[in-house]
Amino acid sequence: MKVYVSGLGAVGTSVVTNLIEYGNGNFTIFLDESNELGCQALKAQYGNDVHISSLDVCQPDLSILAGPSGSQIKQAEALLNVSSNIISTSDDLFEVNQFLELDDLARSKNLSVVVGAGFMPGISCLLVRLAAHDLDQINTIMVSKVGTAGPACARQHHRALSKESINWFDGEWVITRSGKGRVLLWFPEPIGAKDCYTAALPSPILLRRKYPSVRRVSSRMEANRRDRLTSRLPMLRPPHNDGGPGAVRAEVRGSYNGEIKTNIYSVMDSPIIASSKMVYVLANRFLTGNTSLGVNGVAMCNDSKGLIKDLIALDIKVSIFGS
Amino acid sequence: MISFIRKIIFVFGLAGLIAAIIKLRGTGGVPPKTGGWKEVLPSDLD
Repeated sequence: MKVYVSGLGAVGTSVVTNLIEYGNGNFTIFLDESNELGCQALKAQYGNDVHISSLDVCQPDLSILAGPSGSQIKQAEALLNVSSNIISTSDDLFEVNQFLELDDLARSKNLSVVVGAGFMPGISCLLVRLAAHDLDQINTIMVSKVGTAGPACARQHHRALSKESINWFDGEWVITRSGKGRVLLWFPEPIGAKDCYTAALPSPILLRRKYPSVRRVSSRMEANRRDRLTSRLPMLRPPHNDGGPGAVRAEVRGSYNGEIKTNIYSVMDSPIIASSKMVYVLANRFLTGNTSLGVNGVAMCNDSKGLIKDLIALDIKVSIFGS
Repeated sequence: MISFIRKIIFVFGLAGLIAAIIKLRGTGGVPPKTGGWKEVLPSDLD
């Protein structure tokens, strides 16, 4: 399968590594030639396992958009027009909505687009599916995350706190300022307890497509006082190349046989590594043709348990909170 | 002035008395000592 990778930052580079190291030669990898430095570094590392190409020349079966959130949509329509399926790591609320608007185009061309295929949204959506599977009625879904991947992700984290957040609350979309709605949430160690706040995150929109009858869907992310205070200013210092360990958490409340039940699942890992493995297991689904037509989030993917098993096989540790 | 000081003493005394009653009657409960995060194994998903 010909795979075109655009965006060779921290996550994109890690995706290429996964495709080569785990892919058993099933993927022929083409790198977006516009990122000269990234291409040269990967070419030096992997030699003939990667090819540097323009989109017109390589005619990919699958394209992976791992560039900065907000910049991916520009390429998406062009990719659909050359009949390429797409996996996008975008976690920008506005951009994810733009991706969803390409649904008709993707269906008309018999193509699949998976949007929000990262840490959150992405792995968090699979955790929601896992938490929801043994409930016969679901009332509330809350997803949350701690940490960032590379520098572009840190910038997106900063932007998300300065824009308006959107959450589903009792039958309507509630738009509020970000940095509100503090909840103290426990993540697996070494992350521990973190204060999490509302932010401009796309998870509620993607999850509600899977669970349209749920009363409340909300998403939050960890932020400290400085993050909240300076969210409307430019970033005061350059972001780290690697944001270090992070975590995503999904809490689903509902009932089973009339008994109220709450299921909580979490993944603690490096957001770079976890996101790139999420992309890799989705790329494998394209290899086997096990994908849904149109534009969908990870929550809509077929065989969510199979995807989680694949992630566990790649050393992603999924945890359940229990008493 | 004397009356004002007497009122302050009465208010602080009453607050102290209420606080003492709450402190003596409330136990605060015992935080949970079991539970926590448990790793999900592939076999748990079958």
